[in-house]
Amino acid sequence: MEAALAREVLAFLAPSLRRVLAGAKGGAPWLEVRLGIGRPLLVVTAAGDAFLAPDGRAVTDPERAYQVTEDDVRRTVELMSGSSLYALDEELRQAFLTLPGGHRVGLCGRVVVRGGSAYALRDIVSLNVRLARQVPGAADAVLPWILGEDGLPVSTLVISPPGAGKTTLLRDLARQLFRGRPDLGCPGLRVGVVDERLELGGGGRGGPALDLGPRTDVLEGCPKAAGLVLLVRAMGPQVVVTDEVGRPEDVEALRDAARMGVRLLASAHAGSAAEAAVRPVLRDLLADGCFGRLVRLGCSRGPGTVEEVRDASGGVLYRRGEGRAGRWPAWTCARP
Amino acid sequence: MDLRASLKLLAVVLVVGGAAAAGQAAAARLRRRPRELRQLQTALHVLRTEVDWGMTLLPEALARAGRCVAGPAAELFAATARVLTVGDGRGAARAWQQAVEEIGPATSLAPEDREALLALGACLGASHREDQLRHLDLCLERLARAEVEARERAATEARLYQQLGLLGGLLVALLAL
Repeated sequence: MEAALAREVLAFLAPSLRRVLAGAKGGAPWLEVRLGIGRPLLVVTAAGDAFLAPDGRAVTDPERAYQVTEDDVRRTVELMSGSSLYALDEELRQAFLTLPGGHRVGLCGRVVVRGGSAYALRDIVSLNVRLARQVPGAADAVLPWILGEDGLPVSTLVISPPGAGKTTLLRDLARQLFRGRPDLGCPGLRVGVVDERLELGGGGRGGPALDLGPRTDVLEGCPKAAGLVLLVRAMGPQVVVTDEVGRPEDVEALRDAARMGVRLLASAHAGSAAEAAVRPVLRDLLADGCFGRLVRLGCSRGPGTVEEVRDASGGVLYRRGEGRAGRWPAWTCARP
Repeated sequence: MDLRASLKLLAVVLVVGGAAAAGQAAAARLRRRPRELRQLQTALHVLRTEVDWGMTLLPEALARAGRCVAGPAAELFAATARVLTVGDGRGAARAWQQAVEEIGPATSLAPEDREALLALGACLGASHREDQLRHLDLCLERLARAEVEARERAATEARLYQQLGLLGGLLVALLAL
C-alpha cells in the first residue's frame, strides 16, 4: 500500500486489519479494500482482485486469506464514524460515508425503512473502502475535446460504470480549468464545485483535502439541486463541477444553471451513450441540450481510459484507437 | 483529676467523636448522591443537545458536556472524551465503562446509578440519532427517578445517621465505663 494512502486510511481501520494491510508490499496500485464479516480480506488492484493472508501477502486461495471478524467491522465503523454514527444519518441513509482525503466507504447492512424510503442503516456487515487518488494530468486527454473557441469548456457529462475514474477526471478538470491552460487558449476560470458526497474535494473535518485549485469555491455536503442554485447565485462561477447526477430534482437545477450561462461539468453512472440515453434523468438532460459533450470512460486500458467523446448531436468526435485522446498518465504516478 | 480518670475521659471523647464522625460521613454521603445525580443529568442534557441539534462528534460533545458541570460527572465525561480523542481503538463503550469504574470509588453513586450509566455507555455513538436520543432519555429518566429517591432518603435518613452515630458512641462509652 502506498505510503500516503496508508497514512490516510489505515488509521480508520481496526488494529488487526491495520497489521495485515501494513504487511502488504509491492504489487499493482490499490483501488479498493473490501471487508465483510466472516469473509476473506479482499483488495481490488489495477491488476485485478487479490486476497490478503494474515501476514499481508497476496494469495489467490480465499481459505488462506485473513478472515474479517465481526469485531473488525464494528471497530472499523466506530473509527470511521468518530464514534458518532448519529452525526452521519444522512450519509448512512445513502449507505456511504467519506473519510478525510475523499476516500469513499460504501456500507452494507440492514436498512430500516420508514414511509417507503431508507431511514437508517444498522447492523453493518460489510464495507468497501474506495481509495481516492489525485492524478494530475488526468484531464489532459479530455480538455482539447471540451474547450470551446472562447476558452471556456463546453458543458460536459462524463459517464462510465463505477470505478472507471469519473470523480478523478472531474477533480483534475476543476483544478486545470481554475489554473488555466494557456496552451489550449483557456484562461484561468472561476470554478465552483457542489460536492454533495465530499468525494471531489475529499472534505470532511477541516475542508477540502484534495487539490481542486487554490481558490475554487466548494460547497460541501449540500444536495446538488439546492447547491447548484446557491453556488451560482452566491459565488458567480463560470464553471460548475458536480458529481453523480441521477435524481429527478437534479435535472431542473442543471437546466437552470445552464440557462444562467454557467458551464457544467458533471458525471453519471452509465456504461455507454445508449445506456445514458435510456436513463430517464440523463435522457432529459441530453435531449435538452444541457450538455455539449458526452465523455465515456472505461477500464479497457486501466481505470481512466477515455473510450469515447461525443458532441451534443451524438456524433462521435473521438473513439479510442481512432483519435488522439487516450489514457491518463498511469495511476502509479499519482503518489509516492 | 488523676491519670486514670483523664485517660477514661480521653477514651470517651475518642469513642463518641469517632462514632459521631462516622455518622456524619454516612449522612454526607447520602446528601452528596442527589447532587451528583443532578450533575450527571445536567451533563447528559448537554450531550443530548449536542447529539440532537449540534450533530457534534462524540469526543467533542462529551468534552463540552464535561465542561458544563463539576464533580465526578465532569471527570467521567472528560476522561471518556480524552480516550476517544487519542483514538487508540478502545472505542466509546469501553472508554465510558472504564471511566465509570474509575470514578466509582470517589462518588456516592449507588450500584443502580452506575448500572444506568453503563447501559448508556454500551450504545454510546453506535446508532442513528433517534436511537441515541432514546437511550439518552432512558438514562436521564433512570437518573431522575434515582435522584428523587436519593433526596427522600437524604431528608429522612441523613439526620438519623448523624444521631445514630452520636448516640451509638455515647452508648459504647457508657457501657465501657
